[in-house]
Amino acid sequence: MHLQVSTEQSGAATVVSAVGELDLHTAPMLQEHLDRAVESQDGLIVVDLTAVDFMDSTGLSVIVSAVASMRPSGRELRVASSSDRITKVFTLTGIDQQVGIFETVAEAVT
Amino acid sequence: MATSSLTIAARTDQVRVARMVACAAARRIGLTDDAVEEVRLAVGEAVGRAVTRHAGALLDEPVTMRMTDSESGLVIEVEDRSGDSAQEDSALAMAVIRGLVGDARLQDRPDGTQVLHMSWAG
Repeated sequence: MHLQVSTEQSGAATVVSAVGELDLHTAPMLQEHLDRAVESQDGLIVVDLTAVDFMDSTGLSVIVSAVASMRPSGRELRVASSSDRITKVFTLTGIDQQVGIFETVAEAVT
Repeated sequence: MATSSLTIAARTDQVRVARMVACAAARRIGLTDDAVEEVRLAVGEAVGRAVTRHAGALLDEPVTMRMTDSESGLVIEVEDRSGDSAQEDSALAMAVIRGLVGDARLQDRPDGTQVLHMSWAG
């Protein structure tokens, strides 16, 4: 696998961090962590993509799915990434209008 | 002009191989770093879409990527053989591809093969 995913608490926020390449093959790993975070935690979820080198629309789909499942309970998901190659996937699909994108995790959790 | 092709098993782990091969072709003809990244993402989307369509059609056939490079640029075509039986759930993938590649177009051949054509000027 060319992706590693971990979950940790940062104050009231749950931070799900991915490192590596997020694509059709590896996106289920992120989905597993996000599903657990959505089910077992309350409050804000931050998806940390600052160490993701590549992401395609399957990675985006996982994030969109989590956003949709959190919406009924009024919870928010934010993304941390300062990489144009990552944020471009959000802007090309218009998903940047639905998900807040911050340059760092520190900014996203506040 | 040089044409080469890559045939991969329709498995999710093979999409990365296609991305790497396409990037190497893009670098070889001197595309800028930004353009190489566009090739990487577009090919990842296109080949991933083909693999997903094959899986949806329960089709155990390979996916083929053809690359033609010349002084005028790079042309990449991704072929899948899933035909009409494929589950079409690739709106996000196509949105990314069309956002990246101005001339991206799908062509259905009489034999049931669908070809996704993309090109980048050199």
